[in-house]
Amino acid sequence: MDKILRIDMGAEGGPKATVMDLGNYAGLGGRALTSAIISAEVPPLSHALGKENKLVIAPGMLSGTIAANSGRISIGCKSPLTGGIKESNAGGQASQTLAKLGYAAVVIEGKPSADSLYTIFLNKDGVKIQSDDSLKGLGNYDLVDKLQSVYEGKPCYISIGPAGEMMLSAASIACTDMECRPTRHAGRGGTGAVMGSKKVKAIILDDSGVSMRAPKDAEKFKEANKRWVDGLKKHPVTGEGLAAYGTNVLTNVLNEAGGYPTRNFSSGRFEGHTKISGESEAALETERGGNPTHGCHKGCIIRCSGIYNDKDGKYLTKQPEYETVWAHGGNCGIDDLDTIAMLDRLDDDYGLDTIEMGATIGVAMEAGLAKFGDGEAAINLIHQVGKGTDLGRILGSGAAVTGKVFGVERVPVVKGQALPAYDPRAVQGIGVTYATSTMGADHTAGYAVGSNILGIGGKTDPLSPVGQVELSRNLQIATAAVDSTGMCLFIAFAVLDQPETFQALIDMINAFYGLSLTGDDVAALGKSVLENERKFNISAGFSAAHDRLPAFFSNEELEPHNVKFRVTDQELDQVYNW
Amino acid sequence: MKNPTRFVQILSRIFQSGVFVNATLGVSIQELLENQLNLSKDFVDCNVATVFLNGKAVDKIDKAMVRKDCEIALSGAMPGFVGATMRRGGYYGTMRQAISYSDDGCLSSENEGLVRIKLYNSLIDPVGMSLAQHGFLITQKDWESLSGTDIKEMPVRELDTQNGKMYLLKI
Repeated sequence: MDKILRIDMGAEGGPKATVMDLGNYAGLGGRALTSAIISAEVPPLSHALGKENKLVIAPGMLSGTIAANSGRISIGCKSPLTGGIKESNAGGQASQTLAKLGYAAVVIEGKPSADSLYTIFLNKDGVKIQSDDSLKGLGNYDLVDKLQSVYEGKPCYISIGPAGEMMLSAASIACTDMECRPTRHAGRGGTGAVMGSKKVKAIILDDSGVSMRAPKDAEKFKEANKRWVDGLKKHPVTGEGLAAYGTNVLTNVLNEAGGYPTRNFSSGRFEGHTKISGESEAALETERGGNPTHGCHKGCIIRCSGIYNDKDGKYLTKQPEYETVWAHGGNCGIDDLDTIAMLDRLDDDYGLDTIEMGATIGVAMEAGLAKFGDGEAAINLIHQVGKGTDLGRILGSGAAVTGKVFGVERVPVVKGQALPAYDPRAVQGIGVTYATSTMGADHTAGYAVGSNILGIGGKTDPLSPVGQVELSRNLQIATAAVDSTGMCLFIAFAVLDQPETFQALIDMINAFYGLSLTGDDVAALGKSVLENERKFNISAGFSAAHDRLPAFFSNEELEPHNVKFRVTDQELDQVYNW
Repeated sequence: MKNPTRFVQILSRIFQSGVFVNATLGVSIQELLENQLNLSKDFVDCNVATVFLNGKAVDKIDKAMVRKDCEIALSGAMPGFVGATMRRGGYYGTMRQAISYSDDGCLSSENEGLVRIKLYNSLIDPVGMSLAQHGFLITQKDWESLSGTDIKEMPVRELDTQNGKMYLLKI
């Protein structure tokens, strides 16, 4: 990973590829690299779909190595959904493959003047860019099927569906999984729309004849990876819980806590929760010959994903995860797993963010476009998006636009991006992260390593009534650092509880790059990522007023505990004071 | 029913929505789990990571008291940041302070009564088995939902309770 591939899609005479040294970006990976490039090279006031925006695709620092769970790829740009900086990451095979090919990043720049669609093929011999209008309008599943008949071997694919081609703000970028299905999405923030604006339909990555990346100190790296794997395996969540039930194991617990946003955030409990819980989902998958325990990329040992078959035992989609089941389930009053799985499949095929679309349909239902609980109507609304009808283009632009168009007051967004599956009135700490994250409402922004382990910003008394701002700040810093490693965010559960497992992660980075980083250095990296992102957003016009939750969270009590969001504006404004 | 594992499997969804146990009141949740449901202290310490009493996250199960008609939900360790905040005594407990359990100090005048127990994820099988041996009640609606399963063939006691007609299941 010692080079950056830049592709100018608007070059005279057609797209032009240039391979460059890392330069000032040496030593960065994943989110640290995407955010560094975007903040340095994209004018903050540029149009997200214009030629000045860039799409940066970067594997993590440890991707392409034997390090377990190192297959996360970061995709960055100026977001058409939020208007701010964006890093959205995904699993699947792309990160490992791109890293093995030696690219720290692929930067797609400019904008073609013609209307043709392009594919970009990368292998050990170089880059080939071709126009191919026969791919226009294809869903991700058909697209990958078609490309598989063209490209030999077992390449993996990064692609957009019709939503990306239409440049809708809820459009995602798909990465294929181990079975070469387009099920792993950089979903948040409309990255697919930016790829669509560059007229790139698919990137094909072929690592035939290429070896795994070699560490500077092979012995130390191997030993640290062993400690890393042992740590992940012995933890009850990463070792057993996630494998058995997937992330949807959270449905029952969030519902019990009264923090499960139901029917467009109008209450905290959903009466149909047991029908769509992770426990019921896993049982159904097993009964139909699917599989509730499956990794999304080679080298994953947590295996929180799965295979969801339809009633006839045929593959329908990957196991919908918690946020998807919530967004299309409880948030829309839908308690049927088959309907939710179909919505997941359609989102993946059209290339849409499941969280944004579930929240949008919830808003649409509140507006009266369909009744809460009407699964067939929800499926029809997603089809409208895929077909690009007038209504579909409104819905595909996300919850904020839909709320404005239909005059809905309760619109759960921050910086234009829909809130995920945890009501901030019940879990106020995550409300701080939703409000202040550089990314817009994002549950993964303050997710990762325990601040008690890193010691960033000092220790906080867990039972103190204050401290939510401090915790959120520390978690956001730590998450930004982990997002730069290429590690799956679910490793957080093990490193949260086991300092020795966190140390193993640092030891792996050190052994691989010949460095001597400490926890403090990791914290400094996280801070620098956030500072880059924050600086970009301020220059793009963001202010403290954008670091707020919608007013209804402070005005409306959430049943059953009748709680409101109580963190003050003054406290929120302290998050970036370090 | 001869196969207890199958018994618990069939009842999985009902355990998630909650079954009723006739319990000694005025004791802590820890005492209920260890002394009445016969779960070992080790099991409770290591596996019962997340506990709710009437929908509120409990930090200290030895201080949270069992009262008449209360609802207790039990879960293993949860993934995700929010999962970590829900954990009893966890570092991130402050982030869900608005829904943390605090004892109101009121004591029940009755010694015995029904409490509702909900089981989630990794606790469905082991705690479900303990409940099956202890005996528990399910509502008429839940009983009817078992139609077509082996459990419907089991001998059960039908009871009239303050919560309506219920069915006692025990293996």
